[in-house]
Amino acid sequence: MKVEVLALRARMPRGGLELRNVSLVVEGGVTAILGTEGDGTGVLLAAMAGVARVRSGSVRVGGRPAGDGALTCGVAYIPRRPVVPEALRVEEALAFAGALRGGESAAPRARLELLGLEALAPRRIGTLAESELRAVLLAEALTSPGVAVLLVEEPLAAVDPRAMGALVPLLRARGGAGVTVILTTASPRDAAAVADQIWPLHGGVLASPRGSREEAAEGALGAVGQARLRVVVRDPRAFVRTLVEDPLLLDVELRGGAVVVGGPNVETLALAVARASAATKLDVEELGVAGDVPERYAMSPGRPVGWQG
Amino acid sequence: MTLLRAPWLRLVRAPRRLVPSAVWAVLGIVVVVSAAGRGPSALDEALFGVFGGTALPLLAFTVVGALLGGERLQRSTAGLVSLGAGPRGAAVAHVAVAVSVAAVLGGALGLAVAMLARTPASPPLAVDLVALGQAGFLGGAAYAALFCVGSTLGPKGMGRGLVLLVDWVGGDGTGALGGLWPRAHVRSLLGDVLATPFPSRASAGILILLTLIFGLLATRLGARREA
Repeated sequence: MKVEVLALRARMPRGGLELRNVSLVVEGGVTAILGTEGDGTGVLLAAMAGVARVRSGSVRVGGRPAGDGALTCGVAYIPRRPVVPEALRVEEALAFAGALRGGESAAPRARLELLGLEALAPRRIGTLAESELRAVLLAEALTSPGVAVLLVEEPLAAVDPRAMGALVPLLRARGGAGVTVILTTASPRDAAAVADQIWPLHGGVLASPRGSREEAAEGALGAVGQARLRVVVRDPRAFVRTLVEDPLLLDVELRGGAVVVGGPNVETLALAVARASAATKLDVEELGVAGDVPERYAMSPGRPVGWQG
Repeated sequence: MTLLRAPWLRLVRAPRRLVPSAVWAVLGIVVVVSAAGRGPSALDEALFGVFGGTALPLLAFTVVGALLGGERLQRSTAGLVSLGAGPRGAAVAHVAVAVSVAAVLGGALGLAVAMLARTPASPPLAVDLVALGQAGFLGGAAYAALFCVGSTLGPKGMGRGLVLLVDWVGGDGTGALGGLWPRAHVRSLLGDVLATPFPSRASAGILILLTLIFGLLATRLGARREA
């Protein structure tokens, strides 16, 4: 099913950042919108689901306006904080969704087993942690034959760890089977691992897509010897004093109140920044990947961008 | 039927949420029964003011609040939409369950009052059962639909409280504006000939009409999707 976004200006109903003249067309495969929530990734996905406030432009899914009542059975939207009837048990919710979406679904427990979540089957939705609920919704969407478009925010973050191992192959398999999978992520590494196409979104503006996964990975992570990161901390001088002692970094400089580090690749830089942050006890307030696209990534606590450990 | 199940389960699996409804119902019965001991006129006043004017609307108010989990109607329907339901269908399911449950509980409250609050001057029991059961059933349904409309307004559906207030104030008038609210018509069904310019049979029809109008409006507003 084709998702067409044309000259979109939109924001969430509660306000916040506005998307500016965003256009993209996606049909089938896995597409990653690369950026933070502050860059408007959540707004873009919400606009595709028909729940954002559209100022101008249009969003069409399968030729219909996004959010059209006829689309809801074929469009699965999993935001960061999903809402599901909390009185239902997990297995009831899956059976319920199966009946609404149509198609021949497997038994709820078998569907949950694909992501290692079968232990959650008898639990009430209201008793689940948010990460468990997101994993259950991903299991529902990834195993439902009725879902033609899957919109998911940060599928590889804030999801139950039991589901992590199977998620990437399942997302890719669904994309390969013709489902239009659109996800948002702040992690270039996650995007490169799962997506066929990556669209960087920065400050509400969508940059040109990166084509192949390999190209995307190289662009996002940086070629050897070329990667640079811009780090914002409260005490940049103390941060620099620690960073200069790291043997893996090629250069460290102080520029406009921010620390700019250079090294062999983004992963090494992110590890060095994480180590320096731990040593100086300074929180990284902002982390930027230097490259041909001006991308900024907010630091998620305990999980630096581009670093999986 | 699949759609109706989710809001229904929310009520039956969290019966504690219905405790305020039970409290208002019991208080209403106790006050009306004690008024019956003071004579027919005290009973009439209690029926109009306590049963029809306080216990019944508060019963419907707490049923709607329990069904929506203290949230906006739009947020409750969003839960069903995330599982593949259409927004309109999800809103209809919530409103239908709210109206049905409030009607049945309101009717049961009316029957209980009819059986327990009697004076020597009371009409035959069968007549009282029909009159109070009908007032409770139709009033409960109309109030629930009205509170569903209120639940689409304000944060956490706090518009419910606003429409309760408006009904208390506006429904006491005997003019055309008073006839727009369930309160006047419930009083009319309970035998208050001054509540509306219409006969009580017309009030029954108007309550059904109000239920439909409020229900459709709540469905329309509740089907609006929000993040």
